[in-house]
Parts: sequence; C-alpha cells; structure tokens
Amino acid sequence: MAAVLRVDRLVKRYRTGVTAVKGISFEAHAGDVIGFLGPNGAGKTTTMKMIVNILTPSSGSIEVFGLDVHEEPVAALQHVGALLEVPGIYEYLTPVQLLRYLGRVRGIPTAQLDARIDEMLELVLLTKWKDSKLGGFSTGMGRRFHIASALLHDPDLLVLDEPALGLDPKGLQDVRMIVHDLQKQGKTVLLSSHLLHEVTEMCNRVLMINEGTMVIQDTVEALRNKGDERRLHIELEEEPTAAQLQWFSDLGTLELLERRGPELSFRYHGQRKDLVALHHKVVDQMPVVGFSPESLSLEDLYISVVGKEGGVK
Amino acid sequence: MKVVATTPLQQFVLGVRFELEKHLRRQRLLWALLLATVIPALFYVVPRALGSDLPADAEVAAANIVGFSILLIITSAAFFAGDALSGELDKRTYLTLYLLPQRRSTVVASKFVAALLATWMVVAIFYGIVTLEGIAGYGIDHLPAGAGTSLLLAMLFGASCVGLAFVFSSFTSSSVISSLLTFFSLLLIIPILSFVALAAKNEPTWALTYYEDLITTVLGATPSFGGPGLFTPEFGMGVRVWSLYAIVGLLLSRLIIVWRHAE
Repeated sequence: MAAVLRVDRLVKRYRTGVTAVKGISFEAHAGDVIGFLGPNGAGKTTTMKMIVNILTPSSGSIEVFGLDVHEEPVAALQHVGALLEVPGIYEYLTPVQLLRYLGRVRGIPTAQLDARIDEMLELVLLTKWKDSKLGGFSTGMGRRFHIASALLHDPDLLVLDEPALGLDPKGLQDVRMIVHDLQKQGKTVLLSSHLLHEVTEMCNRVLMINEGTMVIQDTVEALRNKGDERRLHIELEEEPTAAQLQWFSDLGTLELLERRGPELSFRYHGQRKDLVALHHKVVDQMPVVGFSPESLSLEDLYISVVGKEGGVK
Repeated sequence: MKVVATTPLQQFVLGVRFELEKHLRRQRLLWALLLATVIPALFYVVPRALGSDLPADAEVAAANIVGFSILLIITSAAFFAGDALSGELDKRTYLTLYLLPQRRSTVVASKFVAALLATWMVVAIFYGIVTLEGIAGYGIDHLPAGAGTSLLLAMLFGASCVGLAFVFSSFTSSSVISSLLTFFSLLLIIPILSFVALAAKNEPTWALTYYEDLITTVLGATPSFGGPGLFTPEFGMGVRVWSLYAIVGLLLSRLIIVWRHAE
C-alpha cells in the first residue's frame, strides 16, 4: 500500500546551531492514527511544521501522497489539514468570515461552502457563535474553531499538534470521536499529545522521539506487550521495611517505580512464566495482601525512554 | 467532498479581497478614509467660518491642501503595510495562513497589492474632496491643470512608502516595531538624513521623501524643501526613485519572507 506520508532521514538544523530533528524516518498509511510522542523540546512540533511546509528541512525529504512537500507544496498540501501549536486568531473576524476565505483558497466549491462551514461549526459546537467576533472566544472555543478549520476541506491527512490543549472533558471526548470517525473513513492522522491515555485510546501506532531522534516506532498493541516487561503491583500487609525493600532490589528482576504506604509498584524485567515462582518467593518472605502483574502502560514506556527528567528542559 | 485546486491567480485575488476585508473590519480603512475626508474639508470650512478669504487662485489653494496628503500617505502606508507581514508572526496567525496550499510569494503579493489599493483609495478620496472644494470655490473651469499629475505622483509616492513598509514588515516579527519603523523612517529619519546630505552639498537622490514636493510643485506651489538650496528634486528622477522603492520593496520583502521560511 502506498504511503500517505513518507518522512525520510529528516533533519532540521536551525541557524542558531541547534539541531532539533536528527534524521528521523517514518511512514503513515491510509487509516493510520499515529500518536507522536516525546518530551517538550524533543522535535515533535518542528517535525510537524516541516510536514506542512511551515519550516524547511535542512536535509531529508517529506512526501505527502507521493509529492515532495518542499518542491511541490501547493499540490502536496491540497488534501492536508493541520492544527499546530496555538495559532493566533484574526480577532476582528467571525468564524464564518474566516472559514469562507480558507475554504475558497482550499478550493471548496462555492455552492457547498456555506453548508460545509455550518456542518463544521456544528461539529465543534460553535454554531451559536458563528457570527460573533473570534476575539471574544475563550481558549477552548478558539481550539474548537481551529479544529473546524483543519477539517473544513475534508483532508485525507490530518496533522494535529496537541489538539486537546485547553479543551474541557467534553471537548476531549469530541476530539476522540472526530479522530475515530476519520479513521473509519480511512483518513490518516498524525497526532502529538502529552495525554498518553488519549493516545492509547485513539491511536493504532506510536512514534516516540527524544532529543530529535526516533526512539520507538511500533503499534500501540505491540508496545503494550513489548518484551517481557510488566508493571507489578504488590500490596503488603504493612509498610515495607528498608530490609524488605533491599530484598526486592536484590532479586534483580524488579525495579521500584512507586511506593505508597504498603502498596508498591515495580517494573518487572522477566519472563511471564517466572511470575509464579516470584509470587511464591515474595509470599514466603513477607505477608502479602495483593500481587497483580499488568501490561506496561504507554506512560511507563514513555518514562523508561525519556527518563524521569524528560520534558524538563 | 470534492475540492478543486485554485490557481495562483485565484489565490492572489482571494488574498487581496481578504486583506481588504481585514483592513475594513479592523476599521483602519474607515479611519484613514475619514481622515482623507475631514482634513481637506477643514481647509475649506474653517477659513470660511472665520471669515477669511480663499486664496487668489485655485492652484495655490489646492497646493496648500495637497501638502497634507503626504502625511496622510505616510500614515496609510504605516496602517496598511507596516504590519502586513510582521503581524502574522506577531499574532501567530501565520499558523493558519501559511497552512494554506499557496506559495509565500502569492501571500506577499496579495498583501502588497491590498495595502497599495487601500492607500490609493485614501489618496483618491482626498483628491476627490479637494477637487470638489476647488469646483465649489473657483468653478470647474479653474481647476489646476496639474491636478491629475499630482494625483498620480501621490499614488506613486504611496506605492514607494508601501514598498519600504513591506521591507520593514518582512524582517521584523513585531507589528509595533515595523509600523513605527515605517512611520519614523518616512517622517523623521530619511528627511533628517536628506537634510544632512544637502548640508554636505550632496543631493539625496536616494531619499524617497526628498521628492515629496513634486506632488505640490506640479500644482504651481513653490518648493518648500528646507535644505540649502543647491538642488531641486527633479521630476523624472523622483518618478524613477519612487518606482524603484515600490518594486524593490515588493521583491525584497518576498525574498526575505522566503529566506525566513528556510530558516
């Protein structure tokens, strides 16, 4: 199947000397909803900006529907919608006035444009404010408006940078539904988010970058079952003593992640079949109330990749 | 939904319309047009209200009023062009505008033409009011012969101011800085540098404001440039310099925007 989006050895080096993106490559196919993860400053937004031709790559290439974005930007971006960072708003215009301009440049037939604008404003629950000045919109309303503008021309590839930023829980749910609908229609979505639970819910694939380098590229399912790593919750009868904690550490297969009173949370590096033996060992050693292994969450993976300091730059 | 790709010409026309709509909705165009109406009207109404006589002939009267068009042109250039490009970065609206499938050159060209049209609209209204006053005061037969040339020169001067404003607007990322740079360059910095050049017995042929007087002298007014009177702005050179500012301003701002895109 031909790739909708092909990113090949992409590099972005700013004139300041900072290299934000260091040769990342990936592909997205029709129907893919890809979660693009990484700490602040990892290079996600820079990559997304290059995909939609807001920035020019220092080297490497980006193809959308087989067209090089930087050689044929007009044709390549015809069927791409995007929401990047927090765009400004033409505060003296109304949603309808701005969407009319965007729709005309996008080439939406005049006969369909007003109906399409109404449809999009209804989708993002802004119909009541269609003739109000954008300058009076709250952050969440502005976000909803920009989602409508990204979807206006029914794009086949949607690039969303933190789409849930500033949205209330209902807004979050709406974004999730919109993304699900797009996926059902066979559209492709590249979505960056720090809400890892949302990424798990919405995406079928995950790309994780750190310091401009791709560190993980896999399906959500494969990542959750990655290797033999698991999260293991052990609840003791009483708070563990220092000696008990040392005993866990000496096992070599457990890494303490969290400790809340008698409840301990470990990362388990071992085979699934060995869990029974581990269970026996722990029970023999100390009074245990609970022992529950779980698949690793995306959050665990994220922390393991970017480290606990990830995002604090 | 089937979308049909627009041509660069369609994108350009849509861009010009959108920019003019923005000037209108921001009320900048309305204020500029109001000034263009009120300033010449005051020159007609106030002397009469105070019982003063009109100047002896229509040419002197027109030259007196038209002198103020220069300030209006500079204000219009700062209003419509000063932040045309920088404002998109400053307000982060570029994250909407530059996502559209169109070339940066098309965006720059449509913004330039919209700023030019808005400035020319203001100039045209100003000259329209002055003409009406001339007809009311002196009769249609006594309208100054150079009025048409003066209007064209004012429009060309407007184009050169827009060109300069676009250069400032393309390399700064602050609306306020680029607008102030436009305003102060045209009102203070370039005139002061011209005066210094004249004092050093060098004709400031490069200075677009040096030729401002042409707009009124074609109406029969005496040149008012305050430098040591060795030189007089020459008509042909003025036209060439203003044209150059307009064209180079457009091309240079386009180059800078494309260069900044590659950054």
